[in-house]
Amino acid sequence: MDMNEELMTTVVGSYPSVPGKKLLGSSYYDGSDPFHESLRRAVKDQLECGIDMVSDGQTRADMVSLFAQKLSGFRVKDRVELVNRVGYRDQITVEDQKRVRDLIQDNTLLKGIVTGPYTLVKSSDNRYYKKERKAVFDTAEALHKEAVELSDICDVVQVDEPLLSIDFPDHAKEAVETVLDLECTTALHVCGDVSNIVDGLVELNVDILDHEFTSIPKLYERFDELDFPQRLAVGVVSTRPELEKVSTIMKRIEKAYEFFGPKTMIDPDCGLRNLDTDTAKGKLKNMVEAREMFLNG
Amino acid sequence: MFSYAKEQMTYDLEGIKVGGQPGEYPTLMIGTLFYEDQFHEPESSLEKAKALIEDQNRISRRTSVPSMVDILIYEEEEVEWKLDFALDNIEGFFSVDVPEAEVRMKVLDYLDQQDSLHRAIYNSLNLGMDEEEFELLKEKTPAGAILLGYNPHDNSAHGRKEMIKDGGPILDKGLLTMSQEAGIGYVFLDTAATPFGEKACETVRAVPVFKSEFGLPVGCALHNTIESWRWLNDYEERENIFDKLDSSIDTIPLTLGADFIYYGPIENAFDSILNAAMVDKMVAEGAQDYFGVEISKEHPYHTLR
Repeated sequence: MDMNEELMTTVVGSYPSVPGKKLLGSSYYDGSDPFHESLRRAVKDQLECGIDMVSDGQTRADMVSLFAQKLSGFRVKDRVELVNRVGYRDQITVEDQKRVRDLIQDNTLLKGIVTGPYTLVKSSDNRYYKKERKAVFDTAEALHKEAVELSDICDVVQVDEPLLSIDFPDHAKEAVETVLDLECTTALHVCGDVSNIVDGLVELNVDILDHEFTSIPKLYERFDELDFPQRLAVGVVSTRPELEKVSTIMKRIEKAYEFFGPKTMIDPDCGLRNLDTDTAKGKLKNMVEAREMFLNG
Repeated sequence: MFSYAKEQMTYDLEGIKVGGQPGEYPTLMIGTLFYEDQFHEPESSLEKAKALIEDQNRISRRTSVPSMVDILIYEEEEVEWKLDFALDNIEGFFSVDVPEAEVRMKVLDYLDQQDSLHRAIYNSLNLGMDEEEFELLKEKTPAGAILLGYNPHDNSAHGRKEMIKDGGPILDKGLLTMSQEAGIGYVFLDTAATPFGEKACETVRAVPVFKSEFGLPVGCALHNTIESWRWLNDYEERENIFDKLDSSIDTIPLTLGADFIYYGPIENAFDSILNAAMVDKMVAEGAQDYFGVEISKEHPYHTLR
């Protein structure tokens, strides 16, 4: 598998795999890491569905806490707080990505995911920085160190910046590029309605843009108005609990390919964390089946 | 030192007072018996176990720091002989420490058969408890229980508190509500020691957080943080220093007003209980002169002048 594979299938990141209660309970006593099991299941499900580029499933915690718990400067209390200058203390998801790498074959690609600096800062109660811009840049520099480590293990490093769909200041753009100043292939996922910021997104120095095309179909026209260098990861499966038919997904793939041709990659609209496991796996399986139907005419 | 604005519950366990404001009562020190692989063969271990209990009792009497025995049970086959031993050789309450849920249920069955649930502190109610165990707890209810604030999704003091209060992202309801629904009388909150690098500090920080929030007796088994310290376990002088660190780390939660401590292997009774006596004296002095806390009569503050 290489990065230029036509209609490559991938995921945004999160997957609803949680360790069983008994495993969680016994892990306190035997010192084991219960999330090895949830990671293994998330990866196994993706592989069984035939996903070309998998993630670790982000099963440890929500996307903000996962990083805020490990970066210095953040404090997790009733909510996440910024209480000091942000810095990189230690690896955050690197060991998990190594574990995924050991689980997958050479023909499967691996995506490492970093929650974006803008989203981390905006999700926090800022009690330290006078200027948001400085908080975002310090966070970006810290996350860049994690991204560099991930780039040694992963084929793609993706930044998740859901809050860019609400506001898209210049410093947020620069911060994304700071994190993703890497040798490997890079991606940016922004969920929600990005139709008003598409012009800015395509100017970013990233290789793949990843958005919610199923929930926000007007994005097709917005991207189609522009000439842009990136590949486009098109959400062809919703994150609602209903399981779409293969034929429905195939029509979305047809549309995506019609608009964007070989630039198209396909994935769900967003992370699947909030679905039950059967539904999440069903959606991935149907997405891959729909891709096969489309490719085989 | 400091005192809590929230009223602090005190239990009377057949004369052992646990809880209250920092400085009010000495710390309940709980030593674990049948730790790791030392006591798997009942025939060879019982005499030694009796001697260790007596050693703990002796230093407890000498210092006025109360103690309790914790019976550690790993496997189903150990349930009967270890509990028989406890029922025959321990006076009053004892803690029964069982990592596996299936084994915990066997323990409840056997204590019920022996009409001895009223003497047991169940260690622990934790996020691994399923419906079957919960239903059994309602039917065969021990006198007390340790509620473990372990929350692997969020090991901040807040995350640990959530596990007690509302179950966090894992349980439908908090462990405190579950203990109340089961009718457990003596509820102890364990802040759940985590390794260095996994927010070990939050184990300590959670002591005042839990006391302020719930007003119930709070403690932990912080020696587990020493036991999981990778550097120490590889250190060439480990054998010379391990026991000292294992017992002295408990002085940290004690300064923050912890009411009980699982100090680890009962062999450490001498060092651990003397450490507790020393800190209890210090805390009591600070509580009395600054907050007017009335120090109990049988307290090392008075008895170890």
